[in-house]
Amino acid sequence: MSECHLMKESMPLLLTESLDRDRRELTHRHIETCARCADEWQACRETWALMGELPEVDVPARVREGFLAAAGLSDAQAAPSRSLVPFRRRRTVQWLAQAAAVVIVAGGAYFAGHRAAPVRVAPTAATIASVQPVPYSIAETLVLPASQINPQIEGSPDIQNVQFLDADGGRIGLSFDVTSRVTVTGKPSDRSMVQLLSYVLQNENSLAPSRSQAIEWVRQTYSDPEFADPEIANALARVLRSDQHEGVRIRAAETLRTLPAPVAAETREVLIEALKNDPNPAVRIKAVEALANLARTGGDFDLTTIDTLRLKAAQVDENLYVRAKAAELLSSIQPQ
Amino acid sequence: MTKAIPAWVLLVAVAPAGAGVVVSDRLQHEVSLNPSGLVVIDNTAGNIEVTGGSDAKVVIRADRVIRADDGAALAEARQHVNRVVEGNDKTRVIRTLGPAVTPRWNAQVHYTVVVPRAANLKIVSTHTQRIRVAGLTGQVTVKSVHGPVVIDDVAGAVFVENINGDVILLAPRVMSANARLSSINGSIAVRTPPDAKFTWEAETVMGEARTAYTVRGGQFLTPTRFRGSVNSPAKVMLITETFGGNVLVMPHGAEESAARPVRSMIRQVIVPSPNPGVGPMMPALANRADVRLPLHQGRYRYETSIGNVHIDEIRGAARIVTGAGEVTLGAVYGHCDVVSYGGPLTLGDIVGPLAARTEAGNISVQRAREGGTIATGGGSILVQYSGGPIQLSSRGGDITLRQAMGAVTADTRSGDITVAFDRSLKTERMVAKTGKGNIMVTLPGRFGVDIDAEVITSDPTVNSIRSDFQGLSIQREQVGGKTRIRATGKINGGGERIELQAMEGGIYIALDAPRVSPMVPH
Repeated sequence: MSECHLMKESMPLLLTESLDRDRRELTHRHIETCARCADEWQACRETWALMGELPEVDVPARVREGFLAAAGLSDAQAAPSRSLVPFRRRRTVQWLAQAAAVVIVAGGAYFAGHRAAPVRVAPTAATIASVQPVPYSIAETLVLPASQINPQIEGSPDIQNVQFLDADGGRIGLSFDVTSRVTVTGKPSDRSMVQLLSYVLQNENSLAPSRSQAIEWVRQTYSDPEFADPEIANALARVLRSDQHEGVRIRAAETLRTLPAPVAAETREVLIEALKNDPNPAVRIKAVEALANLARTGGDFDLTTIDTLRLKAAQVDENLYVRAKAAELLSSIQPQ
Repeated sequence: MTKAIPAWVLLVAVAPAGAGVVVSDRLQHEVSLNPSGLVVIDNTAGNIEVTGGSDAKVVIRADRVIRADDGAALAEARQHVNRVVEGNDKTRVIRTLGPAVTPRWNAQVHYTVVVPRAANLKIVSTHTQRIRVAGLTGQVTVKSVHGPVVIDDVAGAVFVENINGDVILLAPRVMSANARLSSINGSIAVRTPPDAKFTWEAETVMGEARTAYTVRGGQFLTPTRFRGSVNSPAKVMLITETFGGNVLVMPHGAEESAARPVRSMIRQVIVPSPNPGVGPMMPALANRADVRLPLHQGRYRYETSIGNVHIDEIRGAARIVTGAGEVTLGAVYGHCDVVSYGGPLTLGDIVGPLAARTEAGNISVQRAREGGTIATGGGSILVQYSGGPIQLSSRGGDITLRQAMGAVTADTRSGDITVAFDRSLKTERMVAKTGKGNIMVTLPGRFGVDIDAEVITSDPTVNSIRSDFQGLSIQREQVGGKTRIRATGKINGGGERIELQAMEGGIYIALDAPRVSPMVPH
């Protein structure tokens, strides 16, 4: 086992042809006889090839200055060491290249990433015969507690390949690609976690493998009154209002329906809009059910809501079930 | 000339201990108005009674009733709830300002107003207990939420929109103007002269439309909307619309028992469906009942024009049709045919072939043991297990099949398609298409198929084809400003054909094996 460990440490040097002859021979022999290390070696080669195809993207000056200020470094100090491998960014995966320009979650992840020791080998070229497409990034993974991350997200960082994790002890995790693979873990109520989730929910291209499933995950986590958060509700409302993906809109309306009324109160306007205008009848059904939930749990009916429901219940060309739901909701209005 | 008559009648009632105080005060006011002017009454809570008078003036009596916890709350209510009269000789607006209810007090204002007989009247009220308008010849418009609205002897056009209250129209001796009366959950009753001639349209979804008149040319325009001529065809139109209530149109003085349902006097039933979808046309049935059963022995058949069906177990075949409603079946031991014109379908263990369709709403199926056909006009489809060939179709929504034991056909206009084949399968046919969304197919490790996957996207950096399997060749080309990515090839030596097409989404062909990267939990 310890031999495998040593061999894995040698792989980056082998990749850049920096090992001496004896060591190189020893490593090759081990790889030929150890299936696990052979897989590891293959993965290293593929990653190296993939990274070689990425375009160079400059870090925005504002971000760079902010980072250097936070790290207490001058430009000269921040210049790359000669012992560092000049990694070329991957061309084929634009999101990772763009992500290099952004400090996501306000420097926490970036700072931790910077502290992770780079591979210190001489920069020599490597040749890879073929590259297989990979479903997920296999870049370095950082695990950060949400409590160490600034909850303010500046700009529009391009984070990709987002996945949700259920961690132990009621904690949750959010894993995504930025300059590297980052996993943020924490309680659902942590501000940084809420901000991060709100951000990725509205980023149409970031969620893998399915945005609908991601929203379902959010529903399961944040329907609990203990964790329900207006920020999440508002993010879902924006998804409901603007997402072109009908399955996602259905899920968003469905999730809003399960949130406690005080948390979802500000989403009423969006629900009314969805009830009036969404072309998908399932979205309209969920919207009227969400409005009913708001009314049932203490929300008042304003005149706009009443008028919308009245029109919907009387709309001859509306689906009868939607009309019935609107009429049912109107019947719950109590005289004063 | 405007004349204000301040008349305060203060009534203080000391209620039983704990109930606070009830105070009433009256404001009387007179303002001039042109004989054919407009009067607008905007009140939140309280009764409104308007009658026509012979003078060119508006006489207003406004009784404010406040129920408060204590003296401080009473003072607060008096400060916040005010009656104002605005406007000029052409338009007079009588308005109640302030909230009707707070935690410490509530207030009502009861208006009794006399307006010129020919004046036009508009009433808007939210929590009125009763509205009555009588003796006018101008146009009357009423919008209310609660309580009955009574229109008595009004010769002008009448438009009433109520929500939870009834609407009653007592027509004058000569009916010369149109009337449109609607309520959502209330009923509508109309009394007209026995010889009145008018065209009558009646719509009720949950209730019944009845009349004692002879209706000529009666027909249903839709399953719920009836039209016919009372006595003889005329230009005067009476429209009565309610969703949950009944409609009754009777001659003055006639007994209600003489009324017959309009369904019994129709020439023919026309059930048009302007936009026919996957569901059926709504059944034109009088039946509007819900069903809730724990168990039904043998074959079960039920049709309703509107109603929910909830049956835990059917020991036989099932055929259920509802015009609108939720259908929930725990288990069906035979062929299962479920149709809803609108509403979600939740089905458990379906032993026989399944045909489930809804015009609107999600469909969830635990086990379709022999597969079948599942379609929704808008909504998501979730099938946990299909034991045979299955067709899944949505006009907008995700499609998820967690365990497929047979061929799969899935298409959605907008939504993700997620299908996982059972690990015991060696090969199976599949066709999946989404107009906007991703396709994710999970195949067992030894699954042999011919893959033909295509992505058409305007953002190829985000949407692509990914595969855990080796052996696919990928081609890219530009088509009409978009990128077409096509992956073809054989997996595990080939087999049945799998055709996948995703517009503005990606395709992921996954290997059914534990992964390093955790997926979103199902």
